[in-house]
Parts: sequence; C-alpha cells; structure tokens
Amino acid sequence: MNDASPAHRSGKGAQVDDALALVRAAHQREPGAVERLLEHYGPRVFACAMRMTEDAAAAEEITHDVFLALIRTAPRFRGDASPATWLHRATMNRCRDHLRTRRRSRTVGLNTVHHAIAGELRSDLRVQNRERDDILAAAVAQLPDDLREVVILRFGAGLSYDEIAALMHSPKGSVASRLHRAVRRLGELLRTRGVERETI
Amino acid sequence: MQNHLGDDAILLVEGELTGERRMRAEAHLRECVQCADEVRLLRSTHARLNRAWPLEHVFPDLVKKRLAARLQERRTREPGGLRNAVVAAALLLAAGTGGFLLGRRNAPGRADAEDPRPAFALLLEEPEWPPQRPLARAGYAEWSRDLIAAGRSTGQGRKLTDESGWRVHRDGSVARPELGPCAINYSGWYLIRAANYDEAIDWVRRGPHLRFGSVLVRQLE
Repeated sequence: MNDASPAHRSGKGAQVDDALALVRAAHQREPGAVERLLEHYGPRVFACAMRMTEDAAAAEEITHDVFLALIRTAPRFRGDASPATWLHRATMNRCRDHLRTRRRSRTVGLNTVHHAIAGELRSDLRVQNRERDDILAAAVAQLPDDLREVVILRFGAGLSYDEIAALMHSPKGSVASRLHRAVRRLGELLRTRGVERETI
Repeated sequence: MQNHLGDDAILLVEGELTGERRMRAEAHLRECVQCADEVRLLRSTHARLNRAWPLEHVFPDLVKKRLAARLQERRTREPGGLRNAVVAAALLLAAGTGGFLLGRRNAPGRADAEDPRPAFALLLEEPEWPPQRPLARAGYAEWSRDLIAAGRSTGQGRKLTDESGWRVHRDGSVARPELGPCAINYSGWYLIRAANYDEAIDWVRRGPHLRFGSVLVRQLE
C-alpha cells in the first residue's frame, strides 16, 4: 500500500496508485474491473506475447495467466513496481518458458499471427502488408534473444525506454545500446534480402 | 559501418535525443556520409517496425471479451467467489438396475424451488466393492465446488452406505439386492441442475469419477 503523502506524489506516482486501485478492484471482484484492467493493459501484454511466441493461442493463454496472477497477488503489491512492469515481466518470463518447451525454429513465419488478427484488419491492408511483414518477422526471429526481446518490447508492446529498463533491470543506456544493435542488424538483414528501403 | 555517434544514433531516430546532444548529432550528420548512411538505415528499419506492428490491430475485441469472461469465471470459482451458498439436500436411494426411489431429506431451498432447469441425479457406479472412501478421492471436492460455483448443484455429493439397501418390488415385497462383481454397485450420488441430458453428461465427463467407474445419469421429475 502506498502511503506517500500528496506532496510526494508525482504524476508517475499518481498513475501507479490509480493502476494499483484498478488491480485491487479486480481482486475484490468489483463489476467491470476486469474489463477495465484488460482494456488498459491487455493490448500491450497480448502484443508482447504474440510477437514473442508468434502463436495466437499461446499468446492468449499467456495473457490470461499473467492477468490472473496479477489479480490474485493484488493484496501483496507494495506499489514500488507498477502493475504494467509486473505484467510485462511476467509475460516475458512465460514467453521464454513457452519457447523453451516448444523448441521452435527461429525462422517461423507469421501465419498464426495473421490468422489471429485477420478479422480485424481490412483485407487490402492485410494483402499489402503480409509479404513485407513476413520478411521482417523472419529477420526479427534471427536476432539473438536479448536483441529480439528489446525489439519486441519497444515495437511490439510499445514500452518506453524507462519501462523496458525497469523490466530488464538494466540502465536506460543499456536498453538504447541493445536497441541500436538490434535495429541496425535488422536493417542489414533486410538489406541483404534485397528489401527496398522504406521511403521516410 | 563506422558510427561516430554511438547509441546517440538510435536515440536520434527515436526522438529521444534532445538539446545540445541533438544539435551536435545533427551537425555531425551534415558532415559525415557514413554516419548519415547509418542513420538512414536505422530510420528506414525503425519506420518499418512501427508500421508492421500496429498495436491497435493486435488485440481483437473477441479475444478481449473471451479473456474477460474466462478471468471472471475463474475468479468466481476461487475461495470467496461464491455469492450465495444455497444448500438444499435431497436424499436419493438407489438399488440395482431397476431404477431408484427419490426421497427428500430436507425441504428444497428457495433457489432450488425456483430453478426452472430440470434436475439430474448422477449415480456413481463402482466396479469394485466396497470402494475405499469414494468421495474423498482426488478431484471430487474440486468438482463439487465447480458445480456449486456454476450454479449447477445445490449441495455436495453424498456417499451411500456400504450396504446394499433394499429394492422394493412392484408388488410391495422387499429384498436385498446382491452386491459384488456381477451387480452394479453405487457408491454415491450428486444432484445437479442442467439444461438437458447433454449438459448433465458434459458435467459428468468433467468430473473425476470416470477414472473409477461409470455414472448413471437420470433426470428427475
């Protein structure tokens, strides 16, 4: 429980308090609390799991498990880590477990990902992007684990540098360094595949 | 590829570089072809990543609703999740294969009386006799809780006594049914509410007893 006086509550601190209140509401089974929690954190958690596992069914299971665990542990939250950080850390751990047990090839395509989101994308957008995304996904899959994870957290889950740093227990500079190496290596991989550069 | 900017290159592309550092980086790019090329590669790849993974398309409403429903159902089944603890006892006497007599030990509770769904008796059959503490076997308590949490059961399962009971014949005479390997032996019963036989049978399949014996499902009037 965060007992900081109002004078000490920065904008960020207030956001964490609001997040904790929402998690506790879900723990206490208040009507609509679970939906609000999913509305708030679900997209990035699911996106993260989807990009890591490239498996819509696995991503849904992992998302379910981490939210369930978050709601159950609400009474033990001390407020020093935000629910978002907790969720993403739990998601990454479960994704790594899933990948370890699955022992899947790194060059898996995006078919399952497209299946999951097909209903939400306009068909023309889907057709245009599919081939390009497949090449990009294959390139991401070839990255070493630490670089792949930072790419997924930044671009797949939309986390900020600060959030990624908190998640990985790394300084912000290390996050930047990994992202730099990852994006550069991806660019070089795409270039060797003859993919035309995007027009900026 | 040579890079004089170091990690400032990606920070510049990401819009994270500010103030004097940004100005120095931009000035360098105007003079260094190699670094300018590096930054162009980073920008191009960065743009591709942003366009390839639009967050708003990744979490469909259908998935969100399904997750919400699963989470709520799961939480309802956990301790403290039951809003009502309606207990209505019904005593079911059964013997042999000819049928059974239904009796009520207690008057039905309000929820039971108002529930429009048909009631089904689930008679737990045992291939070996006598079974050891049948309802204490793994899985029964949890299944009972699931039934109650789903609003399908108004009480716990009950074990029948180890003796065979009595069969009342049509002419009023009574006789002890035989127990043993050739007879059907019942160890316990559950009384549940379900929409129809299909649902009642589905609940049986989800329960633990099929590991030990079959279950006779009979609708009650």
